[in-house]
Amino acid sequence: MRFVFWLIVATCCVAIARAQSVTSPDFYSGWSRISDAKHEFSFTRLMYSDAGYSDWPRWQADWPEAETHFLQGLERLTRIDTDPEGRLIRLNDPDLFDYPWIYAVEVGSLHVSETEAANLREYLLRGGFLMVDDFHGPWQWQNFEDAMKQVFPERPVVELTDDDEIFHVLYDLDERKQIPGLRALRMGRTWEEGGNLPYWRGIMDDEGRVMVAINFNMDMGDAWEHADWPEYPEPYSALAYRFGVNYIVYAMTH
Amino acid sequence: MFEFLFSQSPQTWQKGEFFFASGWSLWALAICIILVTGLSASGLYRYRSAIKKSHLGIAWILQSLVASLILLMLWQPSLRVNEVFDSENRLSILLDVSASMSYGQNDTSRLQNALIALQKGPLASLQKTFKTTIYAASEDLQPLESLQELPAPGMQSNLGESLIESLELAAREPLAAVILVSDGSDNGAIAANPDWWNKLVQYDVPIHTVGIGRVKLPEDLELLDVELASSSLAGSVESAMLTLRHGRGGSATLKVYDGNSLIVKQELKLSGSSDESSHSLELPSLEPGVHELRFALEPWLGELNLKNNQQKRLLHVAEQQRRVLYVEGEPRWEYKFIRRALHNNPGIRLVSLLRTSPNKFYRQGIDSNDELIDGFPTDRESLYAYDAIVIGSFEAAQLDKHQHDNLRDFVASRGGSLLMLAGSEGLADGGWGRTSVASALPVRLPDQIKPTFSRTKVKVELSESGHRSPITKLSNNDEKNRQLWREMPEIGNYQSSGEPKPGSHTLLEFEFDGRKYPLLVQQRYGLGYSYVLATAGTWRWQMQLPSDDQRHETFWRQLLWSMVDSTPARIEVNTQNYIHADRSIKSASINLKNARFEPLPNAEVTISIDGPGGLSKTSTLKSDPDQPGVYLADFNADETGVYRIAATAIDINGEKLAENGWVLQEGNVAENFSQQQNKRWLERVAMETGGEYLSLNALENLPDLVRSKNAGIIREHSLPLWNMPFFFLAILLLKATEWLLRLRWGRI
Repeated sequence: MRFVFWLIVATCCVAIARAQSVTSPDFYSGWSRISDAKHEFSFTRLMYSDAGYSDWPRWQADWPEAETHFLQGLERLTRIDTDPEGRLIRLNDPDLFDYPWIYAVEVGSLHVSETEAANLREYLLRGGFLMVDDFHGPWQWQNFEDAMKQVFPERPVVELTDDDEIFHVLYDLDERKQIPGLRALRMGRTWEEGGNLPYWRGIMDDEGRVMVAINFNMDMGDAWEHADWPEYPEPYSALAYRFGVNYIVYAMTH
Repeated sequence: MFEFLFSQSPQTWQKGEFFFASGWSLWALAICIILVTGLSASGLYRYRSAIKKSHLGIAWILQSLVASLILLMLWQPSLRVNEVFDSENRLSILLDVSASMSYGQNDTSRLQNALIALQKGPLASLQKTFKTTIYAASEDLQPLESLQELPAPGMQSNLGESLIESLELAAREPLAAVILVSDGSDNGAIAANPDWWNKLVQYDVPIHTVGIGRVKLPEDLELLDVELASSSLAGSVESAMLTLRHGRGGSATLKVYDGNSLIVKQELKLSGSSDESSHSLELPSLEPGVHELRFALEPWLGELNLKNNQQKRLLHVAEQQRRVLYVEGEPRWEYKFIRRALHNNPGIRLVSLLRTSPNKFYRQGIDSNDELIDGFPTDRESLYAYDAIVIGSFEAAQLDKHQHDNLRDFVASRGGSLLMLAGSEGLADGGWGRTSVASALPVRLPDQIKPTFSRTKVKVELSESGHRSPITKLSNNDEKNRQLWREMPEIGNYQSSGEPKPGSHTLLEFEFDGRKYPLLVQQRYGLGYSYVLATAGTWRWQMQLPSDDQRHETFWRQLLWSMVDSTPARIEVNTQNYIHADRSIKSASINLKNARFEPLPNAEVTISIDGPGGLSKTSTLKSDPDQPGVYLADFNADETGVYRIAATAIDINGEKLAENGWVLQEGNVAENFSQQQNKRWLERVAMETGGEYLSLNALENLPDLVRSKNAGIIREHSLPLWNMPFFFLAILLLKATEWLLRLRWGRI
C-alpha cells in the first residue's frame, strides 16, 4: 500500500515537472515568439490548449522540422520574403494580429476559451488566415467542429471544390490525394482513426474568400517533416509542399 | 449756407477753375494792396500819441483787410466751369423691372418706391432740361413712353447687357449720363466677364446708380450656391460644399432629395458674425445613372422668399468602372489588403499582376484571359487603357527603357496617375531612381548606396496639407479627423524616399529618430499626377483595428478615387456650368482622343440631344480648327428639365467611342436669388464710369449731379464771383468791427 502511494506521488511529480518544462517560456527561447518581424512572411504555429485530452501538447506535432523543411521550399519556389524560422503564438497573444497567417496541427484536440474564440473570430474577420491539418476520424472532426462553432456559430463548414481559386493560385491542384502520416504508412495505409477519405474544407467570409483551410483526414505536417526521409514517399511530400505554397499565396492575395 | 455765401455749390467750386476776369496782372494787385496798406498805416500814424499802439495796429489791420477785399473785387474774381448744356444732351434712365424689384416691405414694393421717388423728385426737372428716354430693364431693354406703361416683371435681370445696349443706342447722340435705378441683382452672364467692365468704361459716359431695397435681409435664408462634381464613380461618396446667406445666426435644416427620396438631412449651425457661411455635406453612395438632386433648406419663421431656399444639381454616377493596374514583384500582405479594401467597389476595377514565383505571374481582376497575358504592357495603347498605375516592390530592371518612358508619359501626356509603393525592390531599392520614371515622381529618390527599406514600426501623422486633402479625410469633422489619425496603429515598415520636390504636397508623415519624413507625397506632373507612398505596411491598420473599422478601406478607396478622378477619358462630353440656369442656349464640347491619347480631329462625331417636350435632335459636328480634337455644339433648351447629350465618335479605323453628358435647364429661378440690394456692384458701376451712387433719399441731387459731369455736349463759361455775398458781408463786418472798437476806445 505504501509502495502504491509513493508510486502515485512520484508519477504526479514527474507529470507536473514535465508540464512545467514544456510550458515555461525558456523552453522556446530558441524560437522568436514575440519580436518584430524582419521578413514579410512568418510560418506561425498556433500553441493551443487541448484541455487535457492528451498527455503531451498536440500543437507540437511535427514541430519544428515540418516548418524548417517547408520554409526552405517556400523560399525556393516563390518570391515570398520568408522568415527561415517559424514562430509560435497563442490566441490571446496581442501580437497575433501581426501575423496574418497561422497554422494549427492536430486540431482534433483543439480547445478554445471564450476569449480565445472571440480573438480568433476578430483575427479572421480582419483578414487573417488559418490552416488546420492532421486530424482524422469522426470523433476528432466533431471536436474540431465544436471548437469552430464557438468562433463562428453561424458560419458553416463547406467543401472546397476543384474550381476554388485556392487550388489554382500558383499550382493547379487538380489531382488531390490523401497525404498520409508516417505512422499510417507504416501500417500499410494512408488513413488513420477511421478517416478513410480526405476532405478539403473551408470556412468562408462574406465575400466567399477562404478564412480557414481545413485539411481533414490527411497529414501535411508529416509530409513536410519527413520530406528528407527515404522511407516517406516523395510524391506525398511534393504534393504537401504544393498545398502549403498555395495556401500561403492564396492568403497573401485574397 | 455755403452756396449763399459763395454764390455757387461746393461741387462747382471743386470742379471749377479760379481766375481773375479783369485781365490785370496779379503783380499789380499785390502792389496796390501794399500801397493801400501803406497809406492806411501813414494815416493812422498821425494819431500815435493819442491812441495806444496796439489799438493802432488793430485798426490798421481792419482797414487793410477792407481795402484788400475791395481791390480783390475790382480784379473780378471768377470761376471757369464746364457744364452740360441741358437742351443739347440726352439722358437715359434705366428702370429695373425684374421680379426682384417686386420684393418689398411695408406694403410697397421696391419698384413702387422707385416710381414714387422719381415722380416726386427729379424726373420732371430732368425731362424739362434733357432729352430723356426711359427704359424698362429686365431680360432685355424696352423703351417706355411713360412710367405708366411698365411691362410685367421680368424673370431675369440682365443689367449688364441692358447698360451696354442703352449706351450703344445713344451712341449717335451726345449722352450726358445714364441713370440706373435698380437693386443691382444682376444674374446675366455678361457682367461677370472682366471684359465687360472695360467695355463699359470705354463709352466714357457717367452712369449714376440709384440703389433700391435693403442691403441686408435678416429675415431671409438663402441657399446661395451648391458646389458638387457633375460626375462621380459608382460606389464613391461625394461631398458637396454649400454656401448659405443668412441675415442672422442660428441654425438651419438642410434636406437633400434624389427625386422624391430623402437621402440626407442635416442641421447646419450658422454663425451670427458673418452673413455668409460654407458647409460641407457628404452624400451617400448612389446607384449608377443620372440623379437630379434637390438641396432644400427648411424656411425660417416669417421668411418671405422661399424660392431661394433650394437649388438643384445633376450628378451622373458613371456606369463604367475606372481601371487601375497594380503590379507587384512579390506576394506581400499590403497587396492582399489593398485588394480587399477595393473589393466589390463598383467604381474601380483593380487589375493586378503579381509575380508569385521566379517564372510565374498571377493575374487578378482581369477582364478577359488575354489581358496582361504577356505581362506588363509593352505598348502605349495597352498601358494608356488604364486610368491609374500602382507599382509595388517591383524592380525597374523587370521593364525595359521603352516601358519606363511609357510609364513616365502615362502621367505626363496621357494624364494618368502613378503611385509607387515602398518595398525591398521598390523605389530606390528597385533601381527606379536611375530610370526616366524618376522625373515623374514627387520625390528625389536617394542614391542606391544602401537599402532604404526598413521593417520598423512607425507612427503616421497627418501633415498640414493632409488636413485639407480628400484622400486623408476619414471624417468630415476636422477635429474628429485629426483624432482618427492620431489613433491610427503604427505601420509595419517604411522606406526612405528622399526629399519632396518643389510643388509637391506631403499629405502624411512619420517620425523616426526625432525627425519627420514624408510618407505620402503627391504632385502634378504634366497632365497627370504622381504619388509615392513610402510604406507597404498600412495593412497593420486593418489587422490592428476592429473588423468593423473602415479606416484602412476608406484611405485606400479615397486614394484610388483621387487617382482616377483626375484622369481624362478618351471621349468626354463637357457641358456648361450652370448656376441659375435660366438661359435657354446651352453649349457642349466633346473632347476626343485616340488610343495614345492624342487629339483626334478627323473623327465622325454625332450628337443626339434628347430633352423634355419630346425634343430629339441629331447633328454631326466638325472639329474646332483652333482646338484639334474638340467638337463644339450649341442647342436650345427652351423647356425646363434634364437634357441628355449623347456623343458618338467613329475614328478612321472604325473604332467607336460613346459618352453621355447631361444638362439641367431650370426656369424662372434666377430672380429669386440674391434679392438684397447689391450696393457694392452699383457703387462700382458708378465709380468705374465716373458717376455717383445715390440712395433713394438723395434723388433730389440728381439734376445737379448730371450737370456737373463732363459728358455729352459741354460748354465752358465763367461764373462771376465779385458779387459774392461773402465779400459784402466781410467788408461790412470788418468796418463794423472797426467802428465798435473806436467807440469803445473813445476815438470816433
